[in-house]
Amino acid sequence: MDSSSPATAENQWICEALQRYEGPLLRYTLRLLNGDLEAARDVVQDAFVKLIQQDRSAVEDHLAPWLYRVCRNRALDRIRKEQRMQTSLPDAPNTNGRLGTAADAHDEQPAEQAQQPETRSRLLIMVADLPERQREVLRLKFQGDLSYREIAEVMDLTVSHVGVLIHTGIQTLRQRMTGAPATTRTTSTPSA
Amino acid sequence: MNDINTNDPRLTAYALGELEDADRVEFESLLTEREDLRAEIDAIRSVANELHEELMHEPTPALSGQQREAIKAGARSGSSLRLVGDGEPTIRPAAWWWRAGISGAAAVLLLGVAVPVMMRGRTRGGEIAIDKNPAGPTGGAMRESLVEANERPEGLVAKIEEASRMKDELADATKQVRQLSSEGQNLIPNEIVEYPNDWPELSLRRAQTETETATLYSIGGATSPPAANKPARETLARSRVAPGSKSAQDQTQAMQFPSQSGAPDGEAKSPARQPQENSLTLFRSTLIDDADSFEPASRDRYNPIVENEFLGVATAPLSTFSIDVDTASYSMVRRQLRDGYRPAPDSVRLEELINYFDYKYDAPSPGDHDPFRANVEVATCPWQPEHRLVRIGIKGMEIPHNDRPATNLVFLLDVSGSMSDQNKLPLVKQGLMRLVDNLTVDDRVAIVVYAGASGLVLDSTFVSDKDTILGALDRLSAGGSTNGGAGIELAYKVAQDHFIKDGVNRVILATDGDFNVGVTNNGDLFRLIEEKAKSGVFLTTLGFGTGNLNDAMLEQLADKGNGMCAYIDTIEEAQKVLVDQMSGSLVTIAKDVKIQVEFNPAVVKSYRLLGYENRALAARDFNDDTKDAGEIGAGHTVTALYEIEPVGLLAMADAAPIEAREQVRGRDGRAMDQAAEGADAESAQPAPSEAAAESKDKPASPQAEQPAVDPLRYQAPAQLNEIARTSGEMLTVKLRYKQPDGDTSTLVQFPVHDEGESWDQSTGDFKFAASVAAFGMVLRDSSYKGDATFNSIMEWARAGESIDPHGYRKAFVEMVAKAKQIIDPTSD
Repeated sequence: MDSSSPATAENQWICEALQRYEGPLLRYTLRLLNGDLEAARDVVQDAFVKLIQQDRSAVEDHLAPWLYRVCRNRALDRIRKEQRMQTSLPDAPNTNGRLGTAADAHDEQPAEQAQQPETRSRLLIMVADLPERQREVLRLKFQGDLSYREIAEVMDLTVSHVGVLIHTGIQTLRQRMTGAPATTRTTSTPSA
Repeated sequence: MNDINTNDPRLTAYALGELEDADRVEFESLLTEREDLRAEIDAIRSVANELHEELMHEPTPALSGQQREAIKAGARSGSSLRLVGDGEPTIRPAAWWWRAGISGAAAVLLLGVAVPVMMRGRTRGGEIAIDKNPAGPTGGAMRESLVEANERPEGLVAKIEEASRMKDELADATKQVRQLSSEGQNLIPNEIVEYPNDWPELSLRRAQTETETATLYSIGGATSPPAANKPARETLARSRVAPGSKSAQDQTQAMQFPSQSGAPDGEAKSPARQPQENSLTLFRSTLIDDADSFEPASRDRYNPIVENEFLGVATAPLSTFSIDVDTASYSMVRRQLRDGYRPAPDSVRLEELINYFDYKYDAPSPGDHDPFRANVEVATCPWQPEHRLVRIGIKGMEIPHNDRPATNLVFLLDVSGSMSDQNKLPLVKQGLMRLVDNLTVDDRVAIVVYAGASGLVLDSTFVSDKDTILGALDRLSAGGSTNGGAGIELAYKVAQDHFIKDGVNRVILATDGDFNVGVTNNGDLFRLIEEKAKSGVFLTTLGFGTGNLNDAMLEQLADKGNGMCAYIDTIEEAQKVLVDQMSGSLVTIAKDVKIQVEFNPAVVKSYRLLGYENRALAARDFNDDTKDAGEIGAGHTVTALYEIEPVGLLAMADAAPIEAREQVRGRDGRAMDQAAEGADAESAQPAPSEAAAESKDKPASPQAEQPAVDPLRYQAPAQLNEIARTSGEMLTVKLRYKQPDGDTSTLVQFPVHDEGESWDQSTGDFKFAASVAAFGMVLRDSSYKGDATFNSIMEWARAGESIDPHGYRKAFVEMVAKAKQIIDPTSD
């Protein structure tokens, strides 16, 4: 027997959106809010409440970027309001007992937990060392699965700017992974 | 443009498939002679993939269950909120409402509770009491406002136009409220706790709204306008009883109930039941009790249960279901009662209560062909003495402790922060340590934990190295968020890496909440588990603690994983599940066990399966070996009860049809609608079409036995065949099962006669099982509970208490006494 919660066509899409985006949005927002889970939950909940109030046809064809954008704006508002304002979005490990994510969890994993393969956390640590906007586009791209165009909408950038940020971020990671000294963002690589 | 270097962002865009078509074509042509750039693109892809992989494995946090419910409820009630918000600014969803997890739908539902509570002037059991005295300030004010709300005809008339326009929307909202009721029962106390000071005011506002909504609806719903002046409870009851119904007649009928309360309802009375037990009183008492004593602030999630109904043998001669050896419901009920709350109705699953207990059924002898033996007993139904109660008992082959095959266990443990409570991880550790203590040196154990990230704490280790295992268990501590999806994959992998052929291979999951499955959704997770179950690794799920328990999910997981689900609230329960019944919990002796019962229409008029609501199968699934069903562990007993209405009973009475009776009993409106439309006995059981298709080959009873349905114009009533008329058989039980590693099923079937055994003659096991079933029905306030009361249940149970090696039955009687104290202390 199907026991999914009762839903009419009217609300079904909200529930589906919730099911699909709740986790990804929280993960993203949590990052923006320096690991403050409660604040992130508030922001994401607000975003869905706002979604309920929207005309479905107005948001449906760009639901993901719409949600991310609402979360982003609210999170940034919040940071500003709480005067935790920093010029850069925090992506550094947090140690204040808040929920962390894998990149910064290496210092708070339960002792019993097996170590992740080394390259794992190394890569994420390297991500954390990238400039703020590169980190954010990489996360939106590879964690949020958004297209360049959608990322541009979320972050209010041009598509080509998004392309440059992602390209640069990946190139930097590549160099650091292979152990090459990360000198500049525009390091040339050997070519034929 | 030919000058592409490695700084060209198009490389990455191309690698990621982000170039627009035209650009891509152009770019590809530029790449043709640039081996180096293609290598570059491959390298970018590889980094991108790795990054994707890494980032996707980061833990995915979740909203609190409360927040999630609030959003969902908000989504559901979006339309009704907008509607009642018209000219009613007080109930517009202000931001704090949402923040608090109060949703429109919950609010609308709350009214349904507030009104009857106030009407009866009863006091609440929880921390926050509504004014006990109905004449007191709160109660008085509420009543006044309610009266006002109902006696402002001009306001209502003004809305008639609007109402008819919005009728559909309203009908929708009402339906949603009804559907929500099960979840809402959990929500309601929650809100109350959050806003103790606001409660009277809030409920007042909402009461007005609901009353108006209901009234509006009734106008829009084609009843006569005077209905608007009926007292609120009638309006309310009606909106509950016949929501969304298109027939004016339905509504009129339903409307009559309140006014006839206490007097027999000539049209719809049941010869077998107290006439005053009409849908309104049921409705009212349920709601009051709900509001009174449910656990506040619980976010435990249970799947709603729609009780099985009586089905006519003429239309539904076959009853098919999967067996279920889960026992979680019993422990959850016990825990709620111990904490002083009335168990949430949807946490009460009759079959799990009954199957919590062992019964002394004959086990198969060593030489027997089948790994289990079935035995059936028929005697008087204690809560409905005109009816017969059929008990089908199945006992699995017993495997002595020493003969248990080598065992390969993987403990998959939730060590997220919430597990730190004393009744969670510490209890898990204690329980598993006891289990390990009882394993033998050839067995092996691995431990996988999941929280922030999942990890292998202990690779598969022989129990000969017991200290290592116990040490690893002992050192576990809680912290982090939950990502069960990755954990379960790892656990299955470890189990498969150390797979013991012909042995027991099992993942044992212990959690207090749900899986945050990360990127995969539930469907993917279930498929994964089904897949793994086919490989021979089965899954047991153990629920712990309270507050966020996703009982529904744990049960489904175990179901898909060919395993069982238990809820562990005490170390004694851990002992029972993990040690005393270890063989049964670990060793599966038969899988995909299905039961199909065919009733003889010459003997049985209608029947009702008690419990197993979420195990119902379509009749055709019985012979379909691809359809998954329940497993039996070694020594397990499985019990199913049918309440039987014998043929001939009603013919002597005033021939009130079953449907009419259902109508009186129906408390959620479903039965009402069906009855009024003269629908066939439709239910969650096999669909009538299937039943009908089946009945072509089967003996069927005369249609004339069902007076609610007009005689068919084109078909003569089916004839009973020779066997039906002369055998005297009541029913035939058919069982299908597969060997634990088999793919094709074996059929076992045998007929059952009713020897006319009286209640007093019945066995202690029979009496006890009946009392447990009755307890479940009383807890659920089922319309089928008949004469059962807490006192009669205790009496019946005591009659069956003699066989009680572990003291479980004695504890049951104590629990019934406790329940009585909480729910209905004054009854006798």
